[in-house]
Amino acid sequence: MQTKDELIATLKKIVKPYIQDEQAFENVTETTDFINDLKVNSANLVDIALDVEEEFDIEIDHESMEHMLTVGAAIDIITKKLAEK
Amino acid sequence: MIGNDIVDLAQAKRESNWRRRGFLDKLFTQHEQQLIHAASNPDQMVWLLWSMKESAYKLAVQRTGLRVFSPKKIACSVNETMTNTVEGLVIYYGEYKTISLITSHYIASVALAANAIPDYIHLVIPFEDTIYQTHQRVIRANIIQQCATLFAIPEQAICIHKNSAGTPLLTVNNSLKIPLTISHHGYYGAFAIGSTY
Repeated sequence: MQTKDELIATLKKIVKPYIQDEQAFENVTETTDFINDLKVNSANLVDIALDVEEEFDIEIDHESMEHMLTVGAAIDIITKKLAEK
Repeated sequence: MIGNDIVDLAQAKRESNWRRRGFLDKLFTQHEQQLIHAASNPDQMVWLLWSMKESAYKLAVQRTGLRVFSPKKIACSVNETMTNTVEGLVIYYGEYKTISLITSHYIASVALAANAIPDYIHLVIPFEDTIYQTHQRVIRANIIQQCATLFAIPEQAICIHKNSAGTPLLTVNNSLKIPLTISHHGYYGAFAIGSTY
């Protein structure tokens, strides 16, 4: 099981191809918003969800994806889904 | 209230592979997936439906304040297809009608309440680069210019700000509020302003 810092590092690696604000990406915290801060195109949020599913071998259902707008929310969802495995 | 969205088709092709496994199922309802699979130009249908969803979502956020990512709950149907224009209906915490302009370069949609009279100005602006900051400046200058002409008022009287939810607001002399919506993607920007106030 990865620590929270390791999870954030893995998530950053997943998110990197989709971000449009490099500076905000360098300063990622749990409150960083994918769309408002990192300027991720909303259609690419789906790619992030699909990449997360593949990387962690989990399923992000629609209800979980609804709230996956910030780094912190994504980490919470990944942690919860990993615990359910 | 008004919502809009623009998709730069070349940019979308670079950024998203909608044929990727699981992609369509996370974004589109069964009906929408059928429309995509039956379309003679499925790429165009994917981004048409997406821009309809985005424009209606922007309007819904203004009404409900609810910010969530649940594209599958935003249900689209296509009512009427003309040469370069598609009229659609979107259901998501209310009913919205959408009017989408389609060219070989972009798809630009505007969403209004289903019972509203379509009385707005919608402009698409091509950019010279893809730098986010330049886009914001160019779009704002265009909006102020259009608005000044439209209402016959000096440019200095017009102010564009964003509220806490990120929705842009257009005010004249710090009092009159005019519906405004802005979108940019790739090499294109678009905005719509209500033409009555």
